[in-house]
Amino acid sequence: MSTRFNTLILREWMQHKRGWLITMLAPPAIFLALLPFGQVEGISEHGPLGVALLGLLICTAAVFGISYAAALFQLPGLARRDQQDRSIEFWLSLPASHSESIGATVLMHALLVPLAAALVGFAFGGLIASGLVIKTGGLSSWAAVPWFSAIGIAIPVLLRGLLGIVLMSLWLAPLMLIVMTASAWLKRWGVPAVGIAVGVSGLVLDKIYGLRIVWEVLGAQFEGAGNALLASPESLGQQMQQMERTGTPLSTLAWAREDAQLALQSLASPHLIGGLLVAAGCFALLVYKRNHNH
Amino acid sequence: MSTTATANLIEAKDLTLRYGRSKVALERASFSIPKGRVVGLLGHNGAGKTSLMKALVGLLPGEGELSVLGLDPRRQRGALLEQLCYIPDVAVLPRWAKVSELMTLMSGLQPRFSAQRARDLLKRTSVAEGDRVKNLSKGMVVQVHLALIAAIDARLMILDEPTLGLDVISRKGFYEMLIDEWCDGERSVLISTHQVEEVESLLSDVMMLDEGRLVLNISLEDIDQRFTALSHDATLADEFAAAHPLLRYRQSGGRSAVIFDGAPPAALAGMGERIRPSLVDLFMALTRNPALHSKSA
Repeated sequence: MSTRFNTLILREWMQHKRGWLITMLAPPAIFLALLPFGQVEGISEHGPLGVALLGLLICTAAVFGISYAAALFQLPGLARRDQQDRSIEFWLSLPASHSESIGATVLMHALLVPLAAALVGFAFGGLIASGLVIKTGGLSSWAAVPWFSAIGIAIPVLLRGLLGIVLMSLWLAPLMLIVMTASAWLKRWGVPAVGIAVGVSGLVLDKIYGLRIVWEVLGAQFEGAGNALLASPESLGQQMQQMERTGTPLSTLAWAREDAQLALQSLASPHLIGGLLVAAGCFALLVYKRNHNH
Repeated sequence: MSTTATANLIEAKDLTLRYGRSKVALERASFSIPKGRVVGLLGHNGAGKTSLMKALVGLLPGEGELSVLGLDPRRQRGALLEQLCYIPDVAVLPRWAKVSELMTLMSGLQPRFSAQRARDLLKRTSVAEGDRVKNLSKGMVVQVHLALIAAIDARLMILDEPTLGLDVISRKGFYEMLIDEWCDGERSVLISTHQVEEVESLLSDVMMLDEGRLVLNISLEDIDQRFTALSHDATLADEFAAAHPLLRYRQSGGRSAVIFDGAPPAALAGMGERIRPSLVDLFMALTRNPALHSKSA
């Protein structure tokens, strides 16, 4: 990556780090603060190792999920960021191309920060897991958990999740960039306009012409995104149940490798390729808009 | 046009700038700016100054020919911006940023930026590196922006109303910094401003725009040769008015003055005392004068 692109990535961190850190750190911090006073239900049937793994993975998933939702909420507004305070003119006076500037923004918000959130969630997951184990079974349960084994079981799942975030972003890229492009042109009416356009066109094609193409395309994108993140969650669940039955720590490495292969195979899809073409077109429109914004 | 062939940093020929189909911001302007010049760009609000500056830095497409530092501003904008510094508007620094963060970002984005030089220039102001832009007064923001831009080792500096919001001491400090530390005979500055009297002593050349037309493009040395200003007794006002000067105005002490483009009628030359036309008076004479709308520079 060029120095300029890295600097643009750094800009995003400088501008948004406070919000990102709050989004990532506040939920586990709040959970830990409330844990001594609240009740934990629904997991006590699992053994200490199972509770620890659940705590670790749920914390990772929750921090990632909250951060990703926040990023998706912010993305449309990023298309018109810097316009209100006119700082766009400062950025345009510096030798960074429009595609570099937009690319750094999208990459940071839609991919790098969610990846970081997953890692932060995993890092805090140890604390959350310890808290849950102590809450449900006391200190003796905590001492009974083979923590290194637990980390060893969780890491392949984490790595699979990180790959899944990258692949999921490819599937969701057209949707994210469509709303960004709509916001760039239509400002606060961008997102509602996209929603109305998709809804009305889908209903008209479906009810009047019997064509479900809009719903099918949307469904394919979301299904692809879901499979990218986790292709076979049921097999992971089965393995955990087997671990609890037999008491043998499971090896998630094979599962992660197999699940990743399934996710990668699903990339060979016309829906993904078409979606990426749409995303590229929207990116070009964003560059065009920034180039002619004066 | 390559600047190896000429010493001109900016070359424009029949440059026309439009917004949409009907609004013409600049019409068929031709000019060149060589190295080592401090050029004042004067014009009323809406005359086309900002549009011209945006075109020079590749932010506005135009018709005709335009070359800045030997580059096409639209097609080679990235390479161009590495070699010039531009202040579009002094109140545009991102409000969320600290001064130190801006220095870090500029170090990464502008290869010719010197953070140490920026720090040295910042020491002349009351702003600290840890200050956040949103907590600074308007004048302080201007000072920071100017310090950042002046820390770029560029060949061309384009400043759009750079001293708006600065008090007189800060303005003078900026002009001194510009002349003492930046202008070295190889670099050029194009500065648009409304404070004509203040910058007159700094300028080597002046360009005046009036409603999208370049009505004057001249070095200050040539102004005296081209324009004649005569100070005369107020009782002779009618005689001078009959000669259709560019401008008639009052001076202190009850006297009047007129400006002619070229030599005045011989009969009037001896009736007044020749004085040097100021830029302000020339500006008044050449802009918003209906009789001059059909004239070119």
